Amino acid sequence: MNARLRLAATGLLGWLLCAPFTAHSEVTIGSKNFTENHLLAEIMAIMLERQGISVQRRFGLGGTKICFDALRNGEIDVYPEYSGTIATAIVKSGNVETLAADLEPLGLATYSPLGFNNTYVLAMRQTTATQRNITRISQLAGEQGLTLAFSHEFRARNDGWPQLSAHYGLTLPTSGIEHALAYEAIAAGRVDITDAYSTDGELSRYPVTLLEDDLSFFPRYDALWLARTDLDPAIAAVLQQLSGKIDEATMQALNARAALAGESIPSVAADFVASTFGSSPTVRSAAWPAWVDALLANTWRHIQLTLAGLLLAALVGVALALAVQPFPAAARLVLSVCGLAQTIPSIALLALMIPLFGIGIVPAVIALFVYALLPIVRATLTATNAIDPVHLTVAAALGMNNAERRQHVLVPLSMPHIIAGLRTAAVISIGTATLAAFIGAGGLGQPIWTGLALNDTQLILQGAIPAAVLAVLTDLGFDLLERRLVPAHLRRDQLN
Amino acid sequence: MTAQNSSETPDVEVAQLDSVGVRIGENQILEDIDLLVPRGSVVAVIGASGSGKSTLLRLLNGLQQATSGRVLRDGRLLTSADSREIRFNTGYALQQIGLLPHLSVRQNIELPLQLAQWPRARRHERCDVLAARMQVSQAQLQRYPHELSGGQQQRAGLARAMALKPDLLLLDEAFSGLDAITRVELHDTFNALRGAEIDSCLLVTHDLAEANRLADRLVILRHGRIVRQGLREDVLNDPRDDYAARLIETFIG
Repeated sequence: MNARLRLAATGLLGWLLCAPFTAHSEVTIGSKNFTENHLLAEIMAIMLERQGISVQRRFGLGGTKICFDALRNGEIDVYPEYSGTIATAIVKSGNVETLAADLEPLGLATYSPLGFNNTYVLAMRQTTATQRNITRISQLAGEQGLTLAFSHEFRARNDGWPQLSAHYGLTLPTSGIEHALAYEAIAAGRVDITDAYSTDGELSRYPVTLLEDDLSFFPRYDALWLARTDLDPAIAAVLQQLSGKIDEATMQALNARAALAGESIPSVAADFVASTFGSSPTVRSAAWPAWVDALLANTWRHIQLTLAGLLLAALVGVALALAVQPFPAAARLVLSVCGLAQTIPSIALLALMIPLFGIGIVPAVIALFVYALLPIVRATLTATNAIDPVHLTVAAALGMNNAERRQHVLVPLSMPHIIAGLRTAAVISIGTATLAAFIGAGGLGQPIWTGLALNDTQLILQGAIPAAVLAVLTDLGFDLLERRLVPAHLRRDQLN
Repeated sequence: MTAQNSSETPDVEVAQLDSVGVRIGENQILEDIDLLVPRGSVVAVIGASGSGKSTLLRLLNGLQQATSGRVLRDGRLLTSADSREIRFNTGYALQQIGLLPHLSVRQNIELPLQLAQWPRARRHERCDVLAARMQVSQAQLQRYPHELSGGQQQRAGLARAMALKPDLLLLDEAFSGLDAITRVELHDTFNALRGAEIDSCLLVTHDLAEANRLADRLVILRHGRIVRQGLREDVLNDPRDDYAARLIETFIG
């Protein structure tokens, strides 16, 4: 690689990393990755924008932990939360009465309950419930042959299945399922019982029986806002306007419109705000369909994330491999460490990044970098180890120093394999980058995961199709790169 | 740089080994080697495979370190600190040739000049001279090494070894992989270039006929020890050693 190319690569990398930070806003609103939380966050955003406050939306973050960490780090300013979740999953007191005191040491506070309680319920397939004559959770004791599938969060939470099953003395086996898919699974007869939120729009559309919590296990889950104690009073005042404005029936209706009738969340939210507080003058011009803008923005962000992670991994990976290449023990160590990093599940790696780098594009790029490293390092080491020893002898006999040996022998002779490693890393990165949406970095994962949460196939395809196209184009791009960097007789298809 | 060295120190041997031994693990590869390469001479080391002749050759450009004794180049003790300077001043060609496959033949020949930071125009000029002398055509210079015959590849390999006009040329079975006719043609080229491009040379071969055609002095190596060395005629006429005598008998037939 010549100096000019290297300079250009460095510049590109810097620009890719810095570009997203040029936009600043007054308040950043987060949300979790399910319909209701999205809707509440969007309603809040519209309310603030009506007051002339500019809003940055970081919606669809992975879950309670990611939202909470992002809030504590100052990556987001406020997000919709539920009192029971704070009590059991965040402060872990289990007591919704002492939330204010328990949150204070964390520098956090709750604001303006919205007026509804979205508690967990167990939803049972209606035909099974009728057959077995079950209406209460306590009746499940002693039942056999039921398929229980719960959301991953519910299976792990203190207010979830472990304590619930102990409370009721239940010993049924369970498996995990994405919440948005659970209703379809029940309708198809694949699942008998799942966890649901009492305000889920689907509850009115799917044939399910809600089992009564007859031994009073679940606490209250009053919807409210979680923010730091230093929240701008102007924003707190807007939150106050929403206080008590949404009851359970209203929320379930709004959820149903978004999740089932296929209306977009912004339009449902805007409708609600307009009908509750009067219509606002802000009307968007729609000469160009909004989804095209979103598609282009998501694709472009996806390319930025993947390219930044890949370039970093290419520079570091090849350099690292060449540095340790002469020392077999060091090479083995580097390979094991890279392999170890690879075994961390991607979503867990992203979650681990938050305390270190916050949310957004930086932790996402770092996670992608970590994943891309192994294929690149392994390809480079394999290739350099496979170089004909005669060429290394010649390099030494010609008096080459280490840098010259790398430049004239190691790198060019390894190039076909390095490119193959980069190609593997790139394809992995395009897939993994969809997870970046969980930590607010956007990209094509945004429509995919939102679509999954909302059971919206069209939205899923708006992410999945461009991602597939990107993968194909990447493959073609690497063909061109190989043509440019490797003489015909040394290309891999010639070697194999 | 290299041509000046030889004119400054005309009376010092190009290379000298004093009681040199090489031990690798349990194996004594070379033992008690005393050897001179007088300036302007071609010395052939002859021995069977495994006799340690390649190891002996590699002592002189520092690819192999002696475990005992002294290795001198131009009267100076060879240390690892000046390996780059020594290697620029020592041409090295080997049986496997080792042209870099991703570079054109011209780029391969010019590589030592590039490492020595010659300007592009001078590199080009020098390469053209070498190619003409080694009978590598301009068209062949533009090709990749694998597109050339073995003989033409080795001509390019020798051109690369001679590019910086080194004081000493080391040839490790450089002609062994070639067919008989090509080999003889290369021998002729080699002899024609003595004085012009080739000053002093140490070559190793298992082929006494080749040594006889190219060398002024012969060194016969057996099991890591020198059993006989001297001027070519002296050695051939008076082997003095059983092994040397049998070797010469087979050659004369």
